[in-house]
Amino acid sequence: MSWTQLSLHGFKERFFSSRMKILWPLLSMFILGAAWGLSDPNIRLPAQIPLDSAYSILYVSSAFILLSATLGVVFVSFDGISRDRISGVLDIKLSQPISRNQLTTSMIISHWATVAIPTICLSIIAIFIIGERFGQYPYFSEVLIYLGFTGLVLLWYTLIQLLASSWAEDMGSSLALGLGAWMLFTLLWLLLTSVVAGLSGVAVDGSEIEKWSDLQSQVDLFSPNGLYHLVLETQIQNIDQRNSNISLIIATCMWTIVPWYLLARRVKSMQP
Amino acid sequence: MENVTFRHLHPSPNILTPWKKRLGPGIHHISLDLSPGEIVGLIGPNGSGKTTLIRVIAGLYQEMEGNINLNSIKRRERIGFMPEQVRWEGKKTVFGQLKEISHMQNKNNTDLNKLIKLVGLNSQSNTMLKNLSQGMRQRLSLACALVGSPDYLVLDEPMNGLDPLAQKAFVNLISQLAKNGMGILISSHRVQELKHFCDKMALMHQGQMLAFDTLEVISENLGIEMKNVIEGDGEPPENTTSYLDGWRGETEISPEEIIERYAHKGLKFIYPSPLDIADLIKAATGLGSEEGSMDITLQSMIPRREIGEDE
Repeated sequence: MSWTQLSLHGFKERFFSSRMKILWPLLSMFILGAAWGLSDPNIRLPAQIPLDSAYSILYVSSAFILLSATLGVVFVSFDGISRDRISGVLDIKLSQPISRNQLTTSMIISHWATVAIPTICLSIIAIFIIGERFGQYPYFSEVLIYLGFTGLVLLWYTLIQLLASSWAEDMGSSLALGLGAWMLFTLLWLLLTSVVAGLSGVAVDGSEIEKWSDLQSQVDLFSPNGLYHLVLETQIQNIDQRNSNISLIIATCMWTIVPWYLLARRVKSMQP
Repeated sequence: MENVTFRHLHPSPNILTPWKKRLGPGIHHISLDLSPGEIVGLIGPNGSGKTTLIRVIAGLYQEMEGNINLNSIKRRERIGFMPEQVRWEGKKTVFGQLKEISHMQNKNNTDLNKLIKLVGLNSQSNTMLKNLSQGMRQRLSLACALVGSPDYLVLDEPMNGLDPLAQKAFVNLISQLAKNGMGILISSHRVQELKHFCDKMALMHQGQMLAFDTLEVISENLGIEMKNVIEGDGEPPENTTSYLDGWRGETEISPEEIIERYAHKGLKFIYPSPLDIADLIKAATGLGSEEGSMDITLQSMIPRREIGEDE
């Protein structure tokens, strides 16, 4: 299969690039550091989040994945298509007999795997750190969901960034688009949720906490970070689930299929 | 290919309907035959549609009208395409880049080392792309086009940026490939660059093909009289230009007459005047050099608008 070999080729190229030499220590510090710190038996979190199980530590440490690995995806993939377009290499790639769908698939997999593999490896080490320091390991099913959805959230960011790279005429615009999307979902989402709440007549001052939480959980379905946390929350016993499993499954499928389809369509119609 | 038309789609300038596209410049009703072992030169001024035509042939653009014998995927299998001026960069090696292209061809048994040797990059096989010179980059682009042993090769202004020595080596390689049975289409805006090794020439202007034949037949059909350049020392004769070290001029009279007329006026050299694109365009369209080449705008590439048609 040419696309598998092409994916492997692209993965090797990016995995051993200079960017990964910078990303590796950052990912290590964020993921392993978070696991080490949060598994300290004497830790007290400011928001009084209970860290009473190995999985709850893993759940809280997922915030550090959203701060580091998703940004890593942006920096690895921002020139995934735009650089080839500017240099003229895209002309050569598009003139090859490989189908555009296979080309898209290999592009997605190579970019995704470059960040996902180190993140998942470090997350596995983080689980052992939590197990050793906290004295308890998460259940296998919890680990599977954690690692699986960590991979998925990175895939969603890869798709968003490659779409941005295919739309942008230059690498600066591509980076701006990708970074803008990352900032929206990571830093500004609460602001957007508040705006939606205000427009929907839900008080944002904490007086309508039930309504606010309902609305927030619904709005979070439209953010990869929000969906990631909503899915991880399903394994925590003392958190009130406000979304049905069906809605989470539909949102997961939509976040995977729609951007993938858009990117495939974009590459199919792409002209140098 | 027969009667092929392709026009670029431009976004609508209307801010309220940015998704709407309007037809822009392109190529119109182009017919072209390329036989195995034949080298066809595609000549035309800047903006005449050479690159667009080459991209349609290479399967990068889908023709809007007309017929090309192969569908776009089959076309991409059988036609090797070398774009103009690829800026190879990064830490990937020459071999690594060709390996990637061979994965896209699904032909992993291609002997890449042989290919690298063929294009004269055997000593650069492990060189990083960012360290390649312009000539080497062109050779790498050619090697990419040759991966998978295509039946035809389309080359978009491959001589750009090459020094005379590299150009000569390039021409030798192209001629060798044609001798081995490969059909080659090569574009340039310089007639002199192609006339020595091309079997036929296709003359393009404003997205249309004005002529397709051997250069001699095209010149004859267009009524172009071959001129001779004359150079000499001393007092400049009539219709010549004076230079510091002598005089220079162009004339349509025969060499015998030139000798008779200018021998006693210090004549030193007679040689055929190089035919350039401006002469061909001028003869084919009646346009002056300013109208025919320098004044080409996107609007001038679009044929006259018909009622109801977008411009």
